[in-house]
Amino acid sequence: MKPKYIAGMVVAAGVIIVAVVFALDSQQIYMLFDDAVLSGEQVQVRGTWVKGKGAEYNPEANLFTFTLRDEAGGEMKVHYYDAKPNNFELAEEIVVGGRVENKVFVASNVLTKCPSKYEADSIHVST
Amino acid sequence: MAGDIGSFLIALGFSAGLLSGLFYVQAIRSPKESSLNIARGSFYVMVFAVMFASAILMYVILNHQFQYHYVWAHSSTNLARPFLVAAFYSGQEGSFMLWTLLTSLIGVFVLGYAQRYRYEAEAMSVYMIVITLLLLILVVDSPFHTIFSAFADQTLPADFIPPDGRGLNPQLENLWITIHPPMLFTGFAAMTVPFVFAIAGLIRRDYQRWISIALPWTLFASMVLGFGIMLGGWWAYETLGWGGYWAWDPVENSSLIPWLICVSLVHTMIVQNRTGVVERGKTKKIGGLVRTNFVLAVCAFSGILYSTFLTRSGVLDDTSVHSFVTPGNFVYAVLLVILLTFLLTGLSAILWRWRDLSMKMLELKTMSRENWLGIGSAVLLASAFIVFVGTSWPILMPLIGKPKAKIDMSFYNNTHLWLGLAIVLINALSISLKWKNTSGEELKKSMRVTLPISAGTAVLVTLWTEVTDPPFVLLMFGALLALITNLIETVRYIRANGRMAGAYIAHMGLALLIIGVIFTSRYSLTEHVQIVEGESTEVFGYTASFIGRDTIERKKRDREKYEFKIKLEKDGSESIVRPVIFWSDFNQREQAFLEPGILYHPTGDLYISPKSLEVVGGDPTVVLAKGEKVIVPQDSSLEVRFEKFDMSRAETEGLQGAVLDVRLPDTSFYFTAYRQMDGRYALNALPRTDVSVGFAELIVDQEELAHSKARIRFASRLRESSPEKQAITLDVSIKPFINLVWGGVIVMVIGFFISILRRRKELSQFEAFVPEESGRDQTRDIS
Repeated sequence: MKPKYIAGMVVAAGVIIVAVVFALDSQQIYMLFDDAVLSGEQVQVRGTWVKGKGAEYNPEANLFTFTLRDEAGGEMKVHYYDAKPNNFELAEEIVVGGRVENKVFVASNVLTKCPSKYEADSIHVST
Repeated sequence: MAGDIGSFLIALGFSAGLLSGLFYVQAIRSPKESSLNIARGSFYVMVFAVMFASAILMYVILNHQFQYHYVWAHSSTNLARPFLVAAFYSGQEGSFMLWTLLTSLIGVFVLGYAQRYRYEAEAMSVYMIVITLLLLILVVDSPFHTIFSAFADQTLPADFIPPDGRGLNPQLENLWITIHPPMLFTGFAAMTVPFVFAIAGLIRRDYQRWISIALPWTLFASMVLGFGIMLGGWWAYETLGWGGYWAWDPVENSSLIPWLICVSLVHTMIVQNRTGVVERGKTKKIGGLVRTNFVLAVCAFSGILYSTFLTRSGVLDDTSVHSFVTPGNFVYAVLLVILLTFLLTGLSAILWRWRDLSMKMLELKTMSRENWLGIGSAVLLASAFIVFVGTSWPILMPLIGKPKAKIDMSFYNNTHLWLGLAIVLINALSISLKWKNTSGEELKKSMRVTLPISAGTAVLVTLWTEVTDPPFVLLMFGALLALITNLIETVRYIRANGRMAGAYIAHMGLALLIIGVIFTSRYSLTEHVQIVEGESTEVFGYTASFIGRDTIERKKRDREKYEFKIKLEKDGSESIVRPVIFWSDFNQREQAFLEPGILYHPTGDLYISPKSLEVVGGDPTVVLAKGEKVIVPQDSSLEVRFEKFDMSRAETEGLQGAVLDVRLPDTSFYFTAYRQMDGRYALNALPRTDVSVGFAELIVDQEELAHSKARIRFASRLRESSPEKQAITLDVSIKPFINLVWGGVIVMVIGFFISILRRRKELSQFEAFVPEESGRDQTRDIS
């Protein structure tokens, strides 16, 4: 009985270690653009779309570009190799995941959050 | 009015549930028929209250009573009936209502079931605690709150009724929303039952019988929840156009975790069921993995609650593609308290009986099927744990003072490649082993056929597909080994006793699913193409032509929806695939909704996902903000300045106007171009010039209406401009053998179903010949 328990414990510890090591390896920390430049790793940046600087989709290259302003006001151009994400214009907040390459944030995923439209509780009485 | 009754019924249900629970608890200590009768009576009162409250919610939704915040927030007058029905559970309060309703209805069956196996007081008292807490959530977070009370800070008139609701996200408007969520919630509700019998078993000091009693329900919960999860994947693939069926999104993961624990529990229960002995409703021998089964039953149910906590409390708001609700701190706290209550009381109940539980331990032989079933369960748990760590990472990191971080999909893919391999290999091995013990000779004999066939097939597949990544080749080999091993057993048992084949059929389904996953994840190809209307392009050996578009759902005024006809020709055969692009009032038509078109084929789908639509050719257009001017492209002597919008005819005639200040070399004048609300507009000749203008588009700036812009079209009346054409941009993918993913899950579901029949039959055999007793029996299962 005893050796089996020990084996079980070792395996369980192994699974926990593997899970944590893999997770640390594939985690993308939420940070600001300034820190993203320094880190050079895959990160997440939360911010808002700078409308004045436009957003453009190039169908030939399948590239969507826009400028994001992070929570501290830092701005950076974002390259996203896919079509414009759903609800992009409506998004109150945009979260991009990717890394900084040559002063451009190359995003592998773009998340659009639009609580104002779907979820928030506001109502116009004037209707 | 109706809402007051609804709120009253929820309160009544809560009180009746509480009363029933109290009397059931009382009946555990002194089983008097009188307390049992009160408990049952109030249970039924609660069931009816919940049913009526649900009926009232349905009624106010169907009748568009927008004075209720929930109805206003989740439905609208233009929704078709099936989606009005779906509005019942498309919001948070309603989904708790559905969960409570299903738990109550399943409770009716559990009551009869528990009575039959003399478990009523113990099982129902725990069951009532669960329902009562669900009802408590509804009391706090009622679907019957009025607009007036929901917006108390906005000083609305007390009798204010909005003319229409916000409606349903039109992307969700397809039949999947009527099937997928109810299926998931049925699975959630069914998961209560194994938990209830585990705790009831601990109360009764029954460490064996509860297993065979709960097993059919554990199988049922696994079947329904698993099927529900797959329906979600199917939905994503078919209409949401994610391109895949699984994205390791927190919402998906959160229902996968309890499913994995539940399936693991099925296996450990089978081990204990097999190694223990129950005759005539009495335990003769306790089997193996006693403690594991209690712990897993508690964990599986806690997993459901954790899933609800993750998806309903808003903690993962910026990590998921699903939009979450931030329900307020109170609901957050209630969910957290409920989760911890059940997890901690469940685990303490196990500790309370720990002395009993550690008494009898059964040694499993290394080379026995039961031992490898246990190891297989452990791998499933490892998978559940890894998904748990990944999904909870954004919560866990801030808890230990580290910066918030999100886990990349590669984490799940990399770990599950190996976990999947372990699962199929262990499955093939355990099926090849006998119960109790197996000699090396016997094992060799049983694998003599399966091993070479699957290795050979794996080599052939590798040569055919030319993909030689060792992990994928290994996984393919393992899945084929599991498939063939289970196929042989299925054939053997279907001849002898069909009911016994369930497990093997389910594992065949799993093997097929894994083969499908290998193909779709490793061998999918995507190409990005743009096709102009009337033209064609080559993609994956097909000639794809964009031959036009049809307007669909014309009757609905809130949307503009098109099917784009893409003709695919290959080897003389042709077919048309119809991806959909539409605009909806739901987001003020600001951005298109996209749905894929799929060419179904048994060996692999051609998946066409629209990305964007552009106009090429045609007359030049210019976007102007107020005060901006432009030289007309066709006539450089002509300058046009956009003065302002003219909305004076908007109310009466539905016309939006753009006032233009037209400057010729010698004179200037104002000219107003109009467009209709639905987007149509005419080109009107500008006096004294050869140019016509049209008000093509009103580009609304939501934040500052004054900054809205106008798109003006200029056409020359002297020469014809090149015709205007649409160009569609598409992602075209090949999804090889994706049908194995769906087919595999369906085969699994069939396997689960057959297993339920088998375990029910076995249960009635174990419990047979028990003399009818009134109330519960006094004998302890272990003396």
